[in-house]
Amino acid sequence: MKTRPSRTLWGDAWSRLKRNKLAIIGAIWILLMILVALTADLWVPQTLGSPTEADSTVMKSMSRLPPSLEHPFGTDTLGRDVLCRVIYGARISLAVGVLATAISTLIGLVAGALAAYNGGWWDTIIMRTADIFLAFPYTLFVIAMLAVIGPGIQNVFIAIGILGWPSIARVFRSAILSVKENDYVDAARAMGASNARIITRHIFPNSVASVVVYATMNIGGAILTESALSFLGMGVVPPDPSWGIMIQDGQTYLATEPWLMIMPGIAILTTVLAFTLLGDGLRDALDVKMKDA
Amino acid sequence: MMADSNILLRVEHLSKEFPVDSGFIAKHSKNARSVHAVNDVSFDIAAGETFGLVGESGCGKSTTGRCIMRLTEPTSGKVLFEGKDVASMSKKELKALRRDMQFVFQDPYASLNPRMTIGEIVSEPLIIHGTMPNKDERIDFVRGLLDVVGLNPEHINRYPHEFSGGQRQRVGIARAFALRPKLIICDEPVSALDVSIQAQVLNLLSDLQQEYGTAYLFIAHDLSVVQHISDRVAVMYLGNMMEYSDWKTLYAQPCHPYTQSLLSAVPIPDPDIQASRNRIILRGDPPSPIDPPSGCPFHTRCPIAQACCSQEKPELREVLPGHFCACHFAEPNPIKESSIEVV
Amino acid sequence: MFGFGLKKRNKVDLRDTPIPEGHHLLEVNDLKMYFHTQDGVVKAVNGVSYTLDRGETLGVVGESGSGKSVTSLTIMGLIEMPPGKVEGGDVLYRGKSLITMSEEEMEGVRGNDIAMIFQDPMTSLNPVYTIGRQLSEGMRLHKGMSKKEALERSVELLRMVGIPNPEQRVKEYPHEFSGGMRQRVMIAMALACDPDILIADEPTTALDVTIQAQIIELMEEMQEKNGNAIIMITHDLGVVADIADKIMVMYAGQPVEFGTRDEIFYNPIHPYTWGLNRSIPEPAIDEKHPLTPIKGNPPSLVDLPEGCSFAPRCPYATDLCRSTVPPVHTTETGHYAKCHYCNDAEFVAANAPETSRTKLEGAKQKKGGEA
Repeated sequence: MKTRPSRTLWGDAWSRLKRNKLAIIGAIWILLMILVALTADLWVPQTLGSPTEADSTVMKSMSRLPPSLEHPFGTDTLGRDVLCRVIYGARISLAVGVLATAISTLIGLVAGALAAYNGGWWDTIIMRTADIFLAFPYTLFVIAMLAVIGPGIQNVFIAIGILGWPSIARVFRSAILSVKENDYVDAARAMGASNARIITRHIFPNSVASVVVYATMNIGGAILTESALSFLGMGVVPPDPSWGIMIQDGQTYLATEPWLMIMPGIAILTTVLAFTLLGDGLRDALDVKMKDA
Repeated sequence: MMADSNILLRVEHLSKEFPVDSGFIAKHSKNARSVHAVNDVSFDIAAGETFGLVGESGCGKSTTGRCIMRLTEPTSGKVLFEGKDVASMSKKELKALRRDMQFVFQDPYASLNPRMTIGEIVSEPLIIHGTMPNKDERIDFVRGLLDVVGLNPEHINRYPHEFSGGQRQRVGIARAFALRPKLIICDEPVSALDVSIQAQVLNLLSDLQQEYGTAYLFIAHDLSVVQHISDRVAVMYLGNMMEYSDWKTLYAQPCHPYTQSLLSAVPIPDPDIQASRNRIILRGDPPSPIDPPSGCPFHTRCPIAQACCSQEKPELREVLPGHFCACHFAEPNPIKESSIEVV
Repeated sequence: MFGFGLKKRNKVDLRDTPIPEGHHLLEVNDLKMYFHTQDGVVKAVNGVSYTLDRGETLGVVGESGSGKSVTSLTIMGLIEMPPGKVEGGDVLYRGKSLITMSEEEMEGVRGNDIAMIFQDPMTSLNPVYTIGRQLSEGMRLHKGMSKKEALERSVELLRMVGIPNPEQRVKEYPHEFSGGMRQRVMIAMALACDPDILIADEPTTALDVTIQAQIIELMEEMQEKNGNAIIMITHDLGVVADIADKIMVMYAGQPVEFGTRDEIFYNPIHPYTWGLNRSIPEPAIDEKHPLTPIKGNPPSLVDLPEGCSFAPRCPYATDLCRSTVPPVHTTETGHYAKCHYCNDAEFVAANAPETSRTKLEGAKQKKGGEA
């Protein structure tokens, strides 16, 4: 079209999101984490040392130092800088969160769309399968799967990703079903639009918002699952840093050197919280119904 | 019935049942219950005329409209548009049909996609049918159309949420007229609007009809609105066609007791007239369409019902020329003053 | 609301206090209710005044957003504050201000002295309690009745509003009732404590015509029996023609015209009232009259036009209308309108729509002239 729209719905959503301080704090925190994680190779080893290699020469004296100017988060048993490991841990956590959620979302979108749009047998088979997946305790299911395909970071992505689809499929399916009820979908049918056009132009744009919200919150959940797996020794393999492993390593020294456990704990807490706040904000901002209320 | 050459749409013995019990087992069990939403309805619409369909909620008037458009698949019966049966059309034929038959919805909020600009909404039928492949030409056409329905063409890039209910309904009407259809099914197009806006939209529909010669199937529950816009009016009750005729006869001399009571129940905004007329207040509620009464569907509430009404279902018959009525005792104003309860 | 410890009140019921001399049962004086929102101040009710006595029915007519519902919710103290705020004016019930009343006192008035029924009978009943329990609640709360007494009275009330087999129905749940039956239950509930004033907010809009006729008939019957006043809020001029003694026409938060039913229908003096009149399809028998709609859309309550709020849509608007807020012109009979020209008899005579009375007179004169 020739002239710019005056106020798009996405623009509206953005202006509502901007007004939500907590969501913006969450978003800034996430962006900061991503920035630090992406640029870590450029500056962290030079200033804080290697995240994996122990400093052999000064190992004894460097072991489990309390937080100081030189080592803001202290050092661990092997003399490695905790801040350095938290930063490299962020890489793994964010990567797991985003990639695993991407896998779940992809499977969930396809499954949800097939179930909702075709209905009948498709719906019954897909949704009952989802129910079966959801009937098992999630973490146990992931552990069982890792026990089959073996530990390691790639397998963690795959396990969390594959097992996460049922909730996304449910959210997307119910969103589609409610959008399908709208008269504008009937209007499109009445003017002779093809199924493909109805799905891509009318149903998808109006139902995807709930998936965006759910996926954002799901990232936090995936990060938590990865930490739990690493804590249990099923996830990332040492000496690679992961927040879960760091907590596991530090738990022995909780009474004497608490920072070993608290620092990665805070990292998990703030990151998961940031994704939840952002997801909450997005939900309020993207809710089309709020316009009319 | 009218001369065949002039008939645009003919509905013959249309019925639609919805299953009540969902779930695989319930649906296939022997005594599965169903809602008889539309029950053996027949009528026809001539080119360029407005056919009004009135009735209370749940009488099947909207389902009838949706079945004609095949937004809902009819259970049985025929819908002939220009002589071709809509119910047995292939996908391709159906798409061609939808150039000639359009729909205007009741809810001006739910009927426009909130993620599309009104320009995109109004041009969508043109894109789907490829009638105007040149984009600039299309935009000019849409601007012109917005102007015709009384919207500012400069607002072509705005989104539906920036408009009021009445303006949105104008967008819906522009969309319906984009392909210059021969028939538009208007399903309660003004009942969600305020009185002053309602009059604007009714006038717009009349003006457009005069200009383009479009026929309307006008579905509504408001008898005065239907009377105002329609050439002929049909009354439905519990999925059945009770009576139809030209508007003048129907309103002046209803032959069905239901039509008569319906008309007398409409409050007229004039205290003198209101005080002077005889009013029939029907007792009780309409029966459930899941378990409709035997015989005449209205006999449970009818002030002049006789024993035969609960046994034998009255056929729709021509009681006066062009005036069809389904009542054993059809005659002008069948409920006499003596049988009206004094209010 | 339900549950433990229904407190019994032994306080003086306001209904038993006599109306002080010079006062009416209900007086609304220049009431203003504004909402402070992110987009600005919404002037939902902007200077509403009227009086009401027992046995009277006031019809409040207006389109959506005209402030007709908010006025009544303000009287009932049901507006959330903030964002709402009473910016001026007062509401006197038997000479006592409802605006300055404490929440506790207000609880004694609400549902007891002034009761309300709403548009949607489907959502105004709680689906998890029986009809009997919901009917009893108010009576136990306000009248200190025992469970048994209240249930007995509930049966009586249901019978009164025309629900067949009330002994059985009282034990049933709302979903077992049809829409019309639920509205009857709502009326029974509203009348349970024998209120002075019954506020009905579009009570028949969600119902079918034949059921609407039943409900209006019932409300009139109940009023005759109990002598209560009714405030009938509606967008349908037909409904007020049936039931109202006085009518207030509202537009953009303000009353634009107020008068007796006959004055509003047969001698309207405000152009908006005329416009409404001309927008309604006439029940014609011989020929159809074209509708003359009011052009344009109602203004935003955040950004009201300067001068008269109706000026942008008024076919007779002048520069004066567009710059100055019109004063209220009141006649001896209390008929008032907010328009610069409404006391100009010539202007009114020239532009007011035809009514059945003027038509009748015209016909008579024609006959007289011929004879």
